[in-house]
Amino acid sequence: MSVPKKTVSAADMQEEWVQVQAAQRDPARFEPLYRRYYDPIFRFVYRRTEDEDLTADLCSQVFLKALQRIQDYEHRGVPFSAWLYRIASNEVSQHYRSNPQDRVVSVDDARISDLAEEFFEDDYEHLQKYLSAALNQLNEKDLQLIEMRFFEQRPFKEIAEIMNVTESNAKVKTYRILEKLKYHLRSVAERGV
Amino acid sequence: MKNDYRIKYNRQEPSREEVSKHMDFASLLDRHQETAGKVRRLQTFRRWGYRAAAAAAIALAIVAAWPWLNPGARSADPEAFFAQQPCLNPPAAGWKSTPVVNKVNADQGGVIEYPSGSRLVIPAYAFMDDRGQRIGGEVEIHYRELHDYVDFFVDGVPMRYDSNGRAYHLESAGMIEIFALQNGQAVKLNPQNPLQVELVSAIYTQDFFSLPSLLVYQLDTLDRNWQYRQPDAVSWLGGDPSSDDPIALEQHKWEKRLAALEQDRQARIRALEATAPVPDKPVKPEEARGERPTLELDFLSGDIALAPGSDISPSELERLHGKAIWEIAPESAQFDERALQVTWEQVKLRRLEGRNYELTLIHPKNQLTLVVRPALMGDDYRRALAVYERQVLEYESALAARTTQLEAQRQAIEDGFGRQYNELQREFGHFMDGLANEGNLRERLLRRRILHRFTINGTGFWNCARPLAPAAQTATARYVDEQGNAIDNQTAFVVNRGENTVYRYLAAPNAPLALHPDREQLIWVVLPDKELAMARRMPGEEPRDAYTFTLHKTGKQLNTAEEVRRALQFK
Repeated sequence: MSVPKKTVSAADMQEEWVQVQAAQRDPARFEPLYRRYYDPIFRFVYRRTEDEDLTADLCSQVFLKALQRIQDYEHRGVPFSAWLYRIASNEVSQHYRSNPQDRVVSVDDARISDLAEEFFEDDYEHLQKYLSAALNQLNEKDLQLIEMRFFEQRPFKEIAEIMNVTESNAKVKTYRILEKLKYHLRSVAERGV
Repeated sequence: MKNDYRIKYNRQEPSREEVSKHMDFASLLDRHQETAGKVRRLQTFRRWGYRAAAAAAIALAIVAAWPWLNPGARSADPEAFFAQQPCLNPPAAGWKSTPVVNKVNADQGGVIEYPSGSRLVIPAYAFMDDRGQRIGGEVEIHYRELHDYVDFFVDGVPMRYDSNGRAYHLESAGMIEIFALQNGQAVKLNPQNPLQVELVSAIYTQDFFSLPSLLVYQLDTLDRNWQYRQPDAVSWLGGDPSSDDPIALEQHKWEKRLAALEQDRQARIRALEATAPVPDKPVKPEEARGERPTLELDFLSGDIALAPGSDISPSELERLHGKAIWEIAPESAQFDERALQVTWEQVKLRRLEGRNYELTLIHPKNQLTLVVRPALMGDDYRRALAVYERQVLEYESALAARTTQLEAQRQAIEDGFGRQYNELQREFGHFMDGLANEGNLRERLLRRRILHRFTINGTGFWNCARPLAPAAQTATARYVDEQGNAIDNQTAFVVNRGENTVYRYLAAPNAPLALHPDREQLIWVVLPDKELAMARRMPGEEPRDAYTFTLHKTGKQLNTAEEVRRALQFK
């Protein structure tokens, strides 16, 4: 599987940290960060929700929480975006806590081939046929990791930053979830679900 | 688990223009200012109280009016109320303890010993700057210990722990806060070189002889939640036999009796195992890889002697690796291959991990150390493999026979130990029952010193704790002052006797509160002039759905954590 690199240079992070410090002094100076990250956060939420209006509501909540908590933000050598994604991820989980069946998972055909590669699965149609049933066996946290890694092609470093774990921990978790997913794929295929 | 996610394939995403239509920074800022305004009003209300110390007349007016000052900010939603407060929220200025500051050379590391008996072991290169670059030079370590519910309260440390959506409270057995500065700037810990902490604390235990099961959590102030990091390696710190303290001497006496039982058990098990030695595990032969340099070492012919310091004999080598050639392992350091042409007089061979050996080739003027492993070629390897497979079967069967032979006797030793242990516990129970409880003697005896060992790779708060399940009984509560005036939009703090944690609730009409019916509870709020208003709820009261707590003022301004501690004691 080839994953495009999404890295933030040290110089960019430094510049961003200066902007965050400015926003800590004056909330109005949060605007450049808001403008930079609105689109990626919107898409992150949209891929997990039903429609644009709900996405816009949740997004607005994400940025409000970010502004409310920016005083507590400390630079830890990871991009500011990781913190925003974490808030967004929590906001989505919170929203669907009472109605998990409404949680949306957006999958592109092109990305299924990456999963097929992981499973050494030649029969692409077989995978596509049973993938939904197998994904339904995962809890929301496990699902999030599969989404970020395979459906959004995020590098492990970024996933680790969003999930607040080490990179090796993110890899181990992914491996375990893939094993679970393989098992569920086999079971649902046997049952013909 | 079966979910029913709505899985959508090849969904069309909105365009950049469509997304940007939803952007509205001005409205976001308005909403932020609106919510921040509410918090500010609450904070202003408190600051007003501090200034009042210098203006008594105003202060009196504020104290009299404080429950009604801010009706606009009233909220009965605890989640919303606490979400607007800082994660670390000390209730008043001047109550927190100050950290102990030590300097350490970051290039070398060091060990810091604290008066509490705790230690911090700092490896070399344990610090980095906010770019993740390793730093050297002098670094200041700021360190504090927080031990009881009063410490957590005055520091404003949240004790709630959300684990996968389920809310617990962490009962702490000891907490530290640590941060590091260089030239006044905060530096971070290098996750590759974690610090080792040996934290000494004292815990109240119902079971004198059993170690508690504790976990280590780190406070994530961004997530506003504790994160589980590792198990807490705990051990009792014995009572000091040279102490003049009768409690320490008594503790030592009982610890000594348990240690004697444990030693006796271990000696019996060792003696039992010596009656049937463990069979030698066969060593799997390895096939020579061909691409690595090899050595032929024939110790039996007398061409080469095994030097003193070797931990294997020539006959053992013959038995284990008779026809092997010695392959230089990839783990071996680089060496000059001309060394293989030299006639070496002696070799020293020491076992390493796995199949590897450390081989030292010795000449009067020189020596060379390599990592080698025995390997076989062709038919020798295949024959050895067949022998190995047979030996494995024999080994496993011998091991099983040994286990069967020893099991009954081992169980008898364990049963005997169990009986003696139970007897010791019974005796201790009788001793405790007969003890007069003057000066809380019993509680003091059950308060044992404990050592927590864990590693830290980040600054901030670290907590050795266990999660307490949510209380089974919940009720609603209202809080009033001595004149019956409602107290609301404040944090109410609650402590259950015997639990080392602090619960925070919103004091508001009909706000929820969890109750532990069998425990005495202290309930209090902080008044603007650094006073507390408190109530006690005694155990055994008939549970109710709704409570009204009348909070009584402590009657004086509390200026230090010690004054707060005295005010918040259970009688």
